[in-house]
Amino acid sequence: MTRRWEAEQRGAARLAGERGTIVREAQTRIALCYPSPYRAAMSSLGYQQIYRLLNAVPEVAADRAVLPDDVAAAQGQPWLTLERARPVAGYPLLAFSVAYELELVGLIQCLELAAIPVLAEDRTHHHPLIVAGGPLTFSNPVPLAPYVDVVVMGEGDELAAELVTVARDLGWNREAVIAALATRAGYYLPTVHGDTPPPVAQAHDELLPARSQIITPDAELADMFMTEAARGCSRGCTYCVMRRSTNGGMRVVPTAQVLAGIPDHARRVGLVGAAVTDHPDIRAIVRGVVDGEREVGISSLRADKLDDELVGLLARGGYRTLTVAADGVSERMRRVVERSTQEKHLLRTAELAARHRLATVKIYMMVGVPTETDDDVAELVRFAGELVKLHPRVAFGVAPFVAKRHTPLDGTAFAGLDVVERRLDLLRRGLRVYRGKAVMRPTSARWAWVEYMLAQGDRRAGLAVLDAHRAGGSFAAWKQAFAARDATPTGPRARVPSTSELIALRKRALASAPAPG
Amino acid sequence: MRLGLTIALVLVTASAGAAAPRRDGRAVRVPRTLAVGATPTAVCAVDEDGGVCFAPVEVGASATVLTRAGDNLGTTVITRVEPIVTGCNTVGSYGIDIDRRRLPTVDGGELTLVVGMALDPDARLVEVSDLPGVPEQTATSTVVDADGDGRPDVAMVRFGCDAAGQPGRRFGTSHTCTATLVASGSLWRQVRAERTANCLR
Repeated sequence: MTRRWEAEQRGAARLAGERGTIVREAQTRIALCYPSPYRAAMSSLGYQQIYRLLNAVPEVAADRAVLPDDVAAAQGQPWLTLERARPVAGYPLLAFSVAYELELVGLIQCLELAAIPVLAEDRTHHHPLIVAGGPLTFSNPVPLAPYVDVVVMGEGDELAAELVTVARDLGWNREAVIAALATRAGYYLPTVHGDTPPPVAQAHDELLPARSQIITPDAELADMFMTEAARGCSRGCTYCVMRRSTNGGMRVVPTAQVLAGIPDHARRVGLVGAAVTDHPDIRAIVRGVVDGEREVGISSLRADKLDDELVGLLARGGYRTLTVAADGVSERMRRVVERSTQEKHLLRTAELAARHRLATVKIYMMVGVPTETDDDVAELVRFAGELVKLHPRVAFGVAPFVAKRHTPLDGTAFAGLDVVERRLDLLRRGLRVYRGKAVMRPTSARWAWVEYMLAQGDRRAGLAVLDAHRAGGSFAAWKQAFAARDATPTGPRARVPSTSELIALRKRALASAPAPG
Repeated sequence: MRLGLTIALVLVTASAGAAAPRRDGRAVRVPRTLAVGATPTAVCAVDEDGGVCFAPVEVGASATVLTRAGDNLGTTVITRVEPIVTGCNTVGSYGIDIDRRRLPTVDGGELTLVVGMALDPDARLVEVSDLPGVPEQTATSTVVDADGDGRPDVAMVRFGCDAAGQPGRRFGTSHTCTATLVASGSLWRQVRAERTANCLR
């Protein structure tokens, strides 16, 4: 009982630090679960939005439950909800928000902590319904299939409430709920649809913008009120899940609506979206935030949209690091992935950051993009020299490319651990000449490969997650698990070539053609 | 190429598409410049490495050049054309060069060319979230307001499809279908359609 008491005390302390917690009486209570720790959960706008919307449904209350910070220490004790400190296993429905592939491990850990059979096929009518949703469903939710009863596809703003009321009205009967949802759009039912999920749902415009319900200092985005400025994206980057062909492209939230939704007590405001700086009125929105003596954060600064006015406003709003994404390491690679950012935009970013005395310029890149060579990495090393002439502190966040479903690059093979690690090493060594003015912050090639296997895998890959987790979770355990489950990723696909690919194909053909005469 | 596209691209009413602009009940001003000329209409893309058209075009053909930023750079001519042969020996597109001396200097980025249709000086690219009958998930589209009234007049769409022309819901598809559409009154009229095999990468 002591450890349970300690867990309750930790939960109570977290609630005490929150502003906006919803504690309500209702006949129906469901558990809204997050398969990563509290600090990440409370920085997830989607999780906060669903929390707020479900708690607005008559006679429904959603209590949060998050993966404990120390999972090992939490073993053997009931996994408790925050609002009620009740065991999660006692709720009739557990709804998980899953951001990306590697959170499948967290989902399994949550079910284990709740003493609920991890595999759906092992559960009976005594066990709660297990539902998943979240950003992962935009790409490949199939590896979730062995573990969940229902997946809410895409934007869950409307479907979450519909699902809970349908399930409640059917007495939480699994078979009846699945039968009822099978006739409705937006639900992936693994026992019905197999490995072919239906299209993602799109929420009605009236439910936009998503916004924070809870502000807490104990979050990755500490004390920050988050609100959407736009949903979706109008750009066509070929590696990106959230592109102009996803749910009709970008939906812009009117400026007045964004600003009016910010509560008086919010001192930090995060503007969230896949392409916030593409909002046609972004300067007015940022000015509205900082004129209210608030700090501002933007989730997606586009280098080609930065100018003196906007960066000046960001500096006033507390910015210390100007972060943009270029993704391809060379001009050629950026064209391959149809990213409109060019060197001139990045140089301008560095110049603006220096002018407004921002401490760091951070640029996200990908390595291992199709057709990339070592020469492309060498171009980035050279270009870093131009950047550090303009700004004394440049950091490259470098991630290995992982092909996702529902993108033009779907099916592209992982470049290979050896290739990715060699290019990271080339970049690391190349940047040394700048003596700390240009540095690299890479993400793990090994974990990127695991992510790739899940992003391009089916339910066999999903089952390998459980095997790897139970075998200790080392990289060797993952490799063995994928092999044992015969979890082979989707191979290369024939697909529509992009314009830049065709132009590059022609250029190569002309270059290799014999000279006339 | 005669196609059996099963999607109803021919004479589709614009109002049939969820986000397509409504043309019903208004008199459409069809500028005299919008008339299709001797050269069949084609929409092409050009960057600093060259260009590509998704239908055959001829050397000497006049082309109007538009930027993504909304500018009309004027007209130029195509100076070179050759088919682009893919890895599986199919031809679905044509490499081109243009006479850049006839254009103002632009600062990089992809340009759009409209061939076979003289456009109004106010012509520009417009965003249309989808076009009637075109599968949103896999399509790329270039839509042009030819007369500067803010409404789309000509569109080129490319989408993944199967050998029978059925649109694919996923990006991996055996073929590429390309269609050029011209608005005519309340209708979209398909003026070109091509289908070519894709190659395994």
